[in-house]
Amino acid sequence: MIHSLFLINSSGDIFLEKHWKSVVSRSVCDYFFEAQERATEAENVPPVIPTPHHYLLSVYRHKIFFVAVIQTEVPPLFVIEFLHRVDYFGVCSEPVIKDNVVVVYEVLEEMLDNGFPLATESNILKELIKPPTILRTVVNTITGSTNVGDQLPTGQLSVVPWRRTGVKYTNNEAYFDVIEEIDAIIDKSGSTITAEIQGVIDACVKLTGMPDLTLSFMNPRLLDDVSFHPCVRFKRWESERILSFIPPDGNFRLLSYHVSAQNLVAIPVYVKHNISFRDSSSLGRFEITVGPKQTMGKTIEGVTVTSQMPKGVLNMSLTPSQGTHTFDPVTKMLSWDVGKINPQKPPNLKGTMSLQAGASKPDENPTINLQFKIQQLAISGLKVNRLDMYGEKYKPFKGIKYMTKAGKFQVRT
Amino acid sequence: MSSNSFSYNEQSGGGEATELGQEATSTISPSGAFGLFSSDLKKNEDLKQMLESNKDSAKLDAMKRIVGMIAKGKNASELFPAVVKNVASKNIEIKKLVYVYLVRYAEEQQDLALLSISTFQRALKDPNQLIRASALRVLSSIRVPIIVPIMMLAIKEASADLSPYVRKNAAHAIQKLYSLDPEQKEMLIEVIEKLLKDKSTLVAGSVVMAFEEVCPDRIDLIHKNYRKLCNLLVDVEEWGQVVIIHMLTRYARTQFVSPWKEGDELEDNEKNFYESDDDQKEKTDKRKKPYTMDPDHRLLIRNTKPLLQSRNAAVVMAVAQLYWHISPKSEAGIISKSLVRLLRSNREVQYIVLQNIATMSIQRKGMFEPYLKSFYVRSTDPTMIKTLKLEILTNLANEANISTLLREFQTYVKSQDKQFAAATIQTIGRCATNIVEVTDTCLNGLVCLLSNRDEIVVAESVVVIKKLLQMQPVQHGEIIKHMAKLLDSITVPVARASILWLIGENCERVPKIAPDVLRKMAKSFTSEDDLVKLQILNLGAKLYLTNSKQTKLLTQYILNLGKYDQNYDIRDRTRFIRQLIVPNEKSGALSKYAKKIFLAQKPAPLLESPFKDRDHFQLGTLSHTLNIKATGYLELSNWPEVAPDPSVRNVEVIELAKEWTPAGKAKQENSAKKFYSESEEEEDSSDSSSDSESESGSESGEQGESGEEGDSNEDSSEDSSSEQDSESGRESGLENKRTAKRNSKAKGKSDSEDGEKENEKSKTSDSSNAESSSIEDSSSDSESESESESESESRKVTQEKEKKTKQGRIPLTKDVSLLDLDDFNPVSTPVALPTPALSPSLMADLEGLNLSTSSSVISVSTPVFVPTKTHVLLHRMSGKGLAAHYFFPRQPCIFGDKMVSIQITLNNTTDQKIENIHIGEKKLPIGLKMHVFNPIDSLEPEGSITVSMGIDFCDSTQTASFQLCTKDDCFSVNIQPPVGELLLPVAMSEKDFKKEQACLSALHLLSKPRNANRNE
Repeated sequence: MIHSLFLINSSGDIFLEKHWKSVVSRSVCDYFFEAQERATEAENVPPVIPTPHHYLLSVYRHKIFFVAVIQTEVPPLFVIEFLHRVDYFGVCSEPVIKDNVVVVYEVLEEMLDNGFPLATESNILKELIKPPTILRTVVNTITGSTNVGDQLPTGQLSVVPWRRTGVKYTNNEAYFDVIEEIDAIIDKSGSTITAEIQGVIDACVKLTGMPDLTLSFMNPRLLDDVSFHPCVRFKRWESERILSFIPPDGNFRLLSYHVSAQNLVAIPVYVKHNISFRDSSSLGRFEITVGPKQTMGKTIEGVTVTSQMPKGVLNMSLTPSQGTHTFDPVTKMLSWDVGKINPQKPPNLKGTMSLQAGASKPDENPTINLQFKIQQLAISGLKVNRLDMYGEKYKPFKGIKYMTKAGKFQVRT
Repeated sequence: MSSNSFSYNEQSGGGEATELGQEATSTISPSGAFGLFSSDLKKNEDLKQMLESNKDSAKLDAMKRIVGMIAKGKNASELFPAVVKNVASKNIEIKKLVYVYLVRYAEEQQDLALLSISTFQRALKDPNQLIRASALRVLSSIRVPIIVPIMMLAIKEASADLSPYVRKNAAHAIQKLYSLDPEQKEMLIEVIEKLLKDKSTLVAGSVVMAFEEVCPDRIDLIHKNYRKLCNLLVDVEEWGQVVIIHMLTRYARTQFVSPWKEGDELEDNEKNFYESDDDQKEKTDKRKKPYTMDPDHRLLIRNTKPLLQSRNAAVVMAVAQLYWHISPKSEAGIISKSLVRLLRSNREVQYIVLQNIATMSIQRKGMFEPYLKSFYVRSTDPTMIKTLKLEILTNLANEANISTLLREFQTYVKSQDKQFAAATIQTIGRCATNIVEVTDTCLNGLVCLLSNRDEIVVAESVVVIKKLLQMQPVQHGEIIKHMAKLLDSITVPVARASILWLIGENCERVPKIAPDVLRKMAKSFTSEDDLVKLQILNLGAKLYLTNSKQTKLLTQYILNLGKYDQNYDIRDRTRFIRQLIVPNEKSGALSKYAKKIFLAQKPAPLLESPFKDRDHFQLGTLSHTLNIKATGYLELSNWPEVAPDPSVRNVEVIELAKEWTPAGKAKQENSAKKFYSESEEEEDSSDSSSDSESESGSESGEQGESGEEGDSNEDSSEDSSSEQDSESGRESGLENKRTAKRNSKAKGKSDSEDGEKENEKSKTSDSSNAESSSIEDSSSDSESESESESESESRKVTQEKEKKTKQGRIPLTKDVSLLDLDDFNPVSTPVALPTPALSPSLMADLEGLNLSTSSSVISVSTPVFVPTKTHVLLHRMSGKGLAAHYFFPRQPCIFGDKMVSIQITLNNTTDQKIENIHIGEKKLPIGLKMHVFNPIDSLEPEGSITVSMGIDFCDSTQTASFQLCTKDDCFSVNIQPPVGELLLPVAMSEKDFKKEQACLSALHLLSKPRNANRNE
């Protein structure tokens, strides 16, 4: 399966390599660099690159390319999914990995055996190799103890491999975040071309022992398509529409779901825009206004507007009614950090664009990408009914939070 | 750790090792620059000292630094002797790091690596399973050929270990040993065989992986474990699931018969006949399946279904490809939703999934049509994702959605990503050729694009227009003139070449312009691109032939220029053309035909999807992604004509079956009877399976005599025959009841004669004739001697097995009524999407409501369930073999927002092609509108096709009548919607409901029903 792995940073340095079978020379990455050059942008590097003797499968995360070397036929998603699971530190950024090279190397060693995944649950991995913390480093130097788990990992052997044994907390808490994202394309005139809701329930469970939880919804029928963490008992869901599970310890994604595109999706914001280039003059007008639409009485916050301006735009002089804006004349990226929307006074950004003299006007107006957050609202109307715990005696603290965010939310102008 | 080994290490490892290490250094890194080398040496010296020290902390520090070096790709091999000494360290962390080091360098320092072996051998006997496992893991990762026998031994022992975790590691070790020494294959296969029997979910994935790597062709090893693997599948860890599913897909394709042809037909027929008798709820019961699908086949399809819900994209894709390759076509529809879900994932996953969808959407448009909008392109998508989405949109384009799509394409054409804009133009070209209705619209649109500012866009448009014009040999003089003018401005060589070619081809249609163009080109010839030069030569030649008076000199001038061109292609072409067109004494017979050669009618280019030929690769594989056969790709075999013996999958031993034989006598009789009545039934209900029927008949006939011996399963041909029998026998049980129910014995009898005739045709031997006559007799329950005990026996084995394992099959002879219901239960409908059925005008109402009362939450819920019930539109009897059913998929209609979408499944039950199926005259009440489906050119015998249409019922239950026409006949049919299909399911709180109710009181007074208020 996976033969070797190379981590490559944005400047093209291979800063970590790991081989699970015989060593493959890092010169194999030259094929990757070639492809990278051809693609110009990191995003466009093809995930699968054939070379004379190997196949290179890569993913791009946190500005790092994870390049896996494959020798024989294997489902490409198998490798890609695995590369995305290498997620020991939460964020796999270059500095974090460089600071912990040895730990990462050990983790990789544990994750695959002969290129076949052995342990990919981060719970188990953390049991095998304890993540370094400042405190532990200090303690280690004093006591001489180590980062490697001194008990052997038992998680792999149990029927609930995702949960480590012997979990103890003084405060027993279970938090669930229902987070929904709206993906939408809005056309020029403000009507919705496509809109759908994707949601996840992320959990942070810190409970002692082996709790068995059930979570039920007021309106489970909203969920059109769901995918579960392996801990969820599928049969129970099929028959009763109840989520029943023994949770992993700590943070995990319990469920992701899709609310059918055929349902009506409330669009919480509107964008009014007036962007015009004139053929003769080297000035263009630019004005956008963002306002609330169907917000169910909640405030829209964390609004940012970004837009990739056409190449012909040299500079923009704009005045926002609130927030701050920047325009990068090199990448032609306009971004406007709006903040909260006050329904009485919809924020607005207005001004002129200076265009390249003599060049013809761009034939397309830029697309506006929108980010926003609405607290305490799941836009689909999904509601958790109750959470019960069995199997343990104590009373846990339970919390549930709702949030709606913009996913890929685009307004065409 | 014993002190022995330590002292051993001290003595032999310590002194010698350093020397060896130095040797190694000098051989391995002789090329290092001097300065650097010495400093390295120094640094490593210091590491060595640390490793020699007594303190664990120093050792640990050193090891960490060394592993750090390895991770960064620096050479640390010279430290081998110093490191290997610590292999038996008591400190777990040091030990682990030493293991890491060993695995990396043992291959390079084989002799020294041997020093560590004894430690592992000892650890293999450790009472702690985890230590045993990790010892095996490291031992097998040391790629040193000398230790192959030790590894073999260790693997054998570990495969019998009590701990499943150790056995899992043994399975991994098998692959490692195999790659180290392929000659161990036979021995390893034995271990694999043993481990395949393992019942632990922990082991399953790993051992199947080993199987795939070592002996993927030994499909016989899977038989006995097949059902176990299917049943364990859900509980296996996700990576194992992927491997097992891929393996089982291959297995299924070798062991079961195709569910694609007869299968779908029969199902539909059953629905047709019995639907009215059946209770809806029973229908959703998944347990019993159509006609002859092997229950094991069904087991696999059923057990993989929940995995579509996996969070792991690889698992979802694996299940999707399984459904695609082995499930009946009507069931494959369920995968589309899950695949579309994966599109939310990161770009790499999207890339792979989109590629697979692209391949699927060529063959079965219908699967992804409801998700059309999920493939709309966002400006933030990477270009490769955009082009793939575009590809899929093109595949999905049809007459109904093309106008929406073209509008969408218009946006794309204006995209700042010019590469993508160019791809869109090609797409428009493809749509224009595929959908005749929009060809002109597209052409006009493309002509408009010719005045675009961006050159790439213009160039691409020119190229596409050229292709389109070539396809339509109609007069398009205006466009050509327009394009000729473009020559002055456009600089992209491909576009220039395309224009010149077009003018050359149509030079007689634009007699005035063509010579002028040539004149201009002659002027600029030397500065043109090679591609353009070639086309100038062509243009010159064509004009010379058609209009030599005006262009003779010009052409000769150009030919002279070409003669001395730098490019030899152009020189060659020049020479060739000159010989052909300019008459001289040397020119041969060819020049007479010059005009025919140059101005021949050229076939139009085919604008095809680049994914068209990918379907011969298994979906979800690397080979499919690359469209090249990757190393180690295992072909998916075609379905066997005749299914191999299914009894090989029975786990019970044969003796057990023998014991049962006498007891099961009555049963045997029954089943024999059933077998025949089944064949009657089959002949009678549909001619579809006549082929396979006669085949199986002749098979069993030939086997008749030897079959008396019963259970001799060694003979392979007999295997297959008894398999056939038991299969059909099993089914016959079900079919029989049907026959009984319909009291059609007499009819059955006559039919069996038909069947017999059929048999006779295909038979040659006497024995088979005898057999077939016995078929005739047997309609009166007599047990046929030749109808092989082996058949009934093997079936019984199966039955026993089934009863025991409760795998969802039903004992044949009991519980007739229960069976009946299960039996006729149709398979879930193809595109059943739980989406609300709503008449769009209601939707609009609701939207308004929502806006005005923004505080209340009225959420449209997905329908609780979409009935699989289909309604008969045209019975096959009255339709002269053409049967049509319709059902309401409860999705918004794609044809118009006021319409209710309806899916019509057309079946051809005749044995001839039905041609030109279309909707004829419509008799609609006032206000009703309908959008008809595209005429279907032809429907193959046994073929079935699903089309969708939309009817605007004006929120009423008026009947829409229309004619369904074929080439020869017209049948009047009508559709009347149940009220429920016009409604919108919503969920709202009681409070909201009251509020809404209050708002609508006036309507209540008028006692008009208001659907939006229907509370759940």
